[in-house]
Amino acid sequence: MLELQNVETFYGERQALFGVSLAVPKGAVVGMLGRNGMGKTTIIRTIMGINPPRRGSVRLNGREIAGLEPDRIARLGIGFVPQGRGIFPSLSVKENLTIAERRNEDGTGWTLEKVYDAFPILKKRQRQYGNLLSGGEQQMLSIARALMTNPDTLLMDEPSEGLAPMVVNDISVIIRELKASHSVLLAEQHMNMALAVADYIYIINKGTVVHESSPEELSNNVDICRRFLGVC
Amino acid sequence: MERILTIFLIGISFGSILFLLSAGLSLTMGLMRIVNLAHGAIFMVGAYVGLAVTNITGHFTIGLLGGAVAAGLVGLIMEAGFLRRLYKQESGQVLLTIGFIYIIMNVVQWIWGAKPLSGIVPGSLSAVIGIGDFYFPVFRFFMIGFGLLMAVLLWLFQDKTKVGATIRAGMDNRQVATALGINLKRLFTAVFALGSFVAGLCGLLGAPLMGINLQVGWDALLLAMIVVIVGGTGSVQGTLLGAMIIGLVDAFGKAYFPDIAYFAIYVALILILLFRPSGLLGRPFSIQKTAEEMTQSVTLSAKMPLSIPAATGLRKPGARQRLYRLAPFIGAACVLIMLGPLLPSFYLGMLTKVLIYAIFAISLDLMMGYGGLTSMGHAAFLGVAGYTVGILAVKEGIGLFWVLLPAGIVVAALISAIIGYICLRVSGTYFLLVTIAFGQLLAIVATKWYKVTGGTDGLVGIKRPDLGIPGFNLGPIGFYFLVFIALVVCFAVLYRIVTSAYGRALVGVRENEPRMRSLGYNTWRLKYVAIIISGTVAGVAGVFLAYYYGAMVPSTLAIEMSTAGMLMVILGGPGTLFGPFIGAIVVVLGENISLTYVPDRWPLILGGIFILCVMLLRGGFAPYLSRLYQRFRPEPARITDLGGVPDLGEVPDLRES
Repeated sequence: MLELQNVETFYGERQALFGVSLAVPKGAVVGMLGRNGMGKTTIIRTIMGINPPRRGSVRLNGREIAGLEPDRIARLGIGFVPQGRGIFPSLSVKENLTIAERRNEDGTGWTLEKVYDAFPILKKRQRQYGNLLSGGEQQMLSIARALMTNPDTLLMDEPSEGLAPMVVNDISVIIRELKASHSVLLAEQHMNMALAVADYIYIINKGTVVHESSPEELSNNVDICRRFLGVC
Repeated sequence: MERILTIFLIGISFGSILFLLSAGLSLTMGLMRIVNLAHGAIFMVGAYVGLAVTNITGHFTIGLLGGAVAAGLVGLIMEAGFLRRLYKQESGQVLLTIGFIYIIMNVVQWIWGAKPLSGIVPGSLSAVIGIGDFYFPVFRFFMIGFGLLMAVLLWLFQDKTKVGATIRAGMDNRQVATALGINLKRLFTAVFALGSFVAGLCGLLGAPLMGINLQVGWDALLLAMIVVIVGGTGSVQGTLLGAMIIGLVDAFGKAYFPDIAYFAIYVALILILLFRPSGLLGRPFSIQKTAEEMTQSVTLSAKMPLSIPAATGLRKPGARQRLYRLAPFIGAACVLIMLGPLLPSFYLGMLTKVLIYAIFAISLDLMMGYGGLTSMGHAAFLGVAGYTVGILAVKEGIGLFWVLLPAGIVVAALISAIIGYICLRVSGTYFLLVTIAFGQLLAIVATKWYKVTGGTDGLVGIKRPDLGIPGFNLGPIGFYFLVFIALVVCFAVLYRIVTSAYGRALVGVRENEPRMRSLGYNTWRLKYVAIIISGTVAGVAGVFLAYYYGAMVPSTLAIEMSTAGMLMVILGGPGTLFGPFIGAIVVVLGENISLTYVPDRWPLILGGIFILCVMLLRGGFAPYLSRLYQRFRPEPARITDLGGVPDLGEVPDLRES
């Protein structure tokens, strides 16, 4: 369970988040929708500790993590799939995976073999350098790399960005499968994808949560969609 | 044929030592983007401690290890205790590591004395073998073997192990690496210590080639820097290639062009800068900041007030504002005018020196404080102007001040135009490194070109300025006032420049160069002009310094002079003009006081000031003084508080049409 309460984050003197509260229950996929520059990425960076909040609390399974170093937060069980994928170009695919590797204490969970089973294409490409992959492969590598840390919550920042519709479908399938074992917080601009995979949706506008509901409810609420997402 | 083979082996063995020396610097610059100017000093620690341990234990191998461990420890303390807090603050790192150079060198001098020691060759490796008519020491083969072995080990470590992959991940994208749970801080400390360890390892090993003396800290830094620039940072192969090229260029240069051999490696450096500024096998991103770091640096510096009081009155000020703004300067001028006739001659001399250094410091402030171009070779401009005066006065017998002053200034302007052009091929850290190299290059010219510069003896016998007025001889007080007028003129000119549209555009370049470029400014030209103006004003200081000492010696061109200027700027407050003036007072007085009471410990104190300044006194004295003065501000303020964004008035338009 990941919980944010009244989180306020600043870039220097500029405030970017104005009291964001949201929750990611265990085993759920929670989507964040919103236009460019509304604060979705900032929320993810705040949770990750890259831009720690000035006020408010971020709790992971009841434990306060606001103010901890990003690497500490990651080791507490948050997996990070950054915007733009963040593949290390001077590492091979295999190295991209192994440097992130962190076993669960009981030895269960994701290992290199299991990740290769789940993403056969990565096994085929394991000797290639990260920057030589296609966009979809890079996105899979980014997700697989986050899984290697055996997190209980995954933060995904626009996994559909720049991908062909068919590949977006593949990614959606992967996210839905992950639901069995992980909680996921998903920032998206791709509304249909978010509606398809998420159990619950928050709409972020100008650094605050302006709407929250189930995906079904949202897709029936034309007014909200038009006002905050510019669609319908 | 045998001769060429011998020279080749000499070059390769020197290259091996250079590789060991530079590997750590390349790694820390490439991975951590930390500029460790104390790398040469760490190498020196390895050499001295290694020699001492060898003498005590009688074992060369234990000595090597002992030196390496000592060097590694120094690196560990530096990184974990200080550098770690200066992450992403390049100028802070630079100043901190300069401080460490002074401290390390002075402590070494304290323990082992100033006399150069000689390196040792263990008995088992002291033989020579013949190659045709030439003899070649076996020890050099050992150097080659050891260097290549370490290269292979380091390459395997960096490219084939998981730790190596983690390091490369940190180089590629440290934010993502951290967010995946990697503790980069600990890794960085380990890498830094490892780099220092390797440098220390080669301290004793390279002693027969590099020597063991107090100068070797600077020499080693310079060589390592050139290797890293030529080879490119962050890859073992690049460093090895750069080291071998420099080693061979040096060896063949010495064999075939002994008169100009000292310049051969600089020629190689300049060629690389002109045609391949990122180095032969460099990771180009290590020069360019990422967009993200840019925005961070902007938010950081946005908190710093723009030059005050310059910024407080950019809108057309009323008479009272104008008076308020000028009052401190008028006050300072009055004090200086009154002090002239009142002070006894010893103190008058000291004050004259303060004013000359102040000219030097404010000239550097234009580049460093306003332009963000941190230079460690600024003494070059001062030195060439001084030497011009010296050569014309001593060798040609020209005495007229009105000839010598413009001559010195013109030469300084020309040299800054040439050096500036080459230095601006690179930016950021590399810019700094290249300015060091050029400063050192000119110092070597001054030392070696005996016929013209008098070598280390220098040019002696420069008389006080002859103003060309019959029957009037300038005394110490007259000279003091001449310097005072020069300072006022330089200050006024620079003040006019930094408050002009050009000056504001220059600050824009410092804050965010890509944004200025995308707004249509020719940022290269803005920076280039800043270097030339800065160098020209430094030339004024150089002319007066030559008169002040009555002599010119190579040390006026040397790196210590440049770092003294830097210290004045950062101590007083970069980007304020009046701050560096105060910095000059503090540094010159501090040096005099220290030389009276603890003559040998001045570098130690200087190093301490550097470190304190970086760790505690961000932005120098100037912001504190300004804040104090703001209390006396007349009328309600028209400009927002210090934390706010100053109103810049009309928008400067220097765009290309």
